Amino acid sequence: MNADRHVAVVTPWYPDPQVTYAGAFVKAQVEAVAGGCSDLDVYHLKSWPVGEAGAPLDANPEVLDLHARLLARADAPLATAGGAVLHRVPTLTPRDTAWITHSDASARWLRTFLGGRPLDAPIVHAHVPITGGWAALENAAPDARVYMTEHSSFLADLLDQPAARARYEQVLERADGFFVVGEPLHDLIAATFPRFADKLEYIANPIDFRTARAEAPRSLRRWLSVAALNERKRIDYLLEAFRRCRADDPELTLTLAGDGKLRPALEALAADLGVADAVAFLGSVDPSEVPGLMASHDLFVHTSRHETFGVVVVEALAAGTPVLVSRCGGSDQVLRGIESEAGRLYDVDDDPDVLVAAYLELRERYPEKTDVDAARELLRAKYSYETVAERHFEVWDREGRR
Amino acid sequence: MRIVFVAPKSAWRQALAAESRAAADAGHAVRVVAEENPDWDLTPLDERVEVRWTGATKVSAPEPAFIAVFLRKIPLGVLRAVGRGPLHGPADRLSRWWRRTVLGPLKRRRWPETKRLREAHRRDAVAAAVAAGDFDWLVLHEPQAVELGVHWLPRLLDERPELVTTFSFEPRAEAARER
Repeated sequence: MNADRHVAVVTPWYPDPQVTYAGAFVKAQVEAVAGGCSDLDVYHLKSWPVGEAGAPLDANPEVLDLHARLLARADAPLATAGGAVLHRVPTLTPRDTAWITHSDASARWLRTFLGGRPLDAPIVHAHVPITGGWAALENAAPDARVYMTEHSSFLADLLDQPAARARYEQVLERADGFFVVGEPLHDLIAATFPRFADKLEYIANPIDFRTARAEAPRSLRRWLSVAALNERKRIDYLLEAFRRCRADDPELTLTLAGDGKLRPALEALAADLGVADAVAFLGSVDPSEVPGLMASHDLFVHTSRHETFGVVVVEALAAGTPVLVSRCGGSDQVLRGIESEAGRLYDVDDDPDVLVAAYLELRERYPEKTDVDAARELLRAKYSYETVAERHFEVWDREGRR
Repeated sequence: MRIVFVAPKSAWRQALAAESRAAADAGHAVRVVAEENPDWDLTPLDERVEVRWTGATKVSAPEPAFIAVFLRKIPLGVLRAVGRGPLHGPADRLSRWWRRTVLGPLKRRRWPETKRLREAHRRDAVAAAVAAGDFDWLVLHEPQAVELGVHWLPRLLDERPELVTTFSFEPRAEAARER
């Protein structure tokens, strides 16, 4: 570890034994930068909802007092990626959808956990500004520099709440550096807070390029989706498009990695469409399994309506697997300039024939008129652990040099 | 050590199964206070783990006698009898409709009382599981463990300041460094 960089990471999202993929990109960031830090402490502010729905957090002061007492005696530093140290800080939150109360709770419980003392790291990097960012700002030492990265897919809803929007503006004002992982977030924040548009910078989520498939796929028959089973990911649309393509080629298969409330409905839909025997529902998969899954399929298919970045698209290409991806925001940016090399982009449309046509066009020109290896190398230069770590060090060190 | 995982609602079953197994692997004697749920089949608890089920999901607010007889037993009994004959299909559909539109709202109306009874049941089950004090490490595994803890934990912490309390059982940083 580098002796000059003592860093604290504050985040509401981090993998745990219950949801091993939640905030996997934050863990990837930690793993990427840990080798360049003398000390790296991660504070995971996981939301623990308490009380009746809609009741304020302080409705039952006895619960808050007990939690404060438990936090004071429960610090068991845990081992995490790259030799960094992880502190779980259960963050009691009210059962409501007001982001301002979650923002306040994050700062409050981190302060309690720290015993009222500030974070002792001179560099603090937070994820999710409304909660992790505010907690970092409110608990950093006076001379510490606080940076933050926005990843949230729910940001538009959050900014519709006046109190949360005002808090967000404060966070933007106070942060020493403010990063977004993709253009959709950049555009939304810049449009909402024009006076801070110049403050916004890009920083990527790091992707593991260490393993690639031994051979390129011969045909594009084994489809893979890695996505939560929710409305935004449009898996129903994928199933219908898959059915239409399979009518032409009965050897097609589809693997769905991911889980969600829609799973029973989607399993029923696969049966109704007559493709149940060709569709495998894997449920949630551990992030460590994703590269292997990507490498054991022929085509990564993404049907999302909206994405802030597009981690899985880069993961697919990192494994050497061509992609068929909706123009959902983050993915457009990721594949800009290498669309035809990487595979095919298609417009977000409710008509499954749009995806069918895109697949047929890609199948027609694959592999001769694609160059997945070239796309992979270009993405490696932007998103590898080494590149993303260097970007963080450049940001952290440039302020220190001033 | 003797570890008790307190998870009265068992909201995070996968984590509970993984962490209690890890604790047993590490040589600890492990007890889990958990709630029954069919999904335990998907993430079973290790057989070395002693489980104290709360039994709270079996508790419901009693149905008033009038409803039990005139809106449940009689109509569903008649439909069951009719369903044994050639009208099997329509009787089945009518039975489902009756449960959904007549009995369902009545059951929902009793839900606040059911919730209160279950809460009290969970509180008693947790208190019984820790009453003997035969443990030296408590894992408060979920928010409800803290919420219910107000009834018994503050006094226990006063009496036993050496008691270890955590929110999870995961590999410690120092243990990882030693490897």
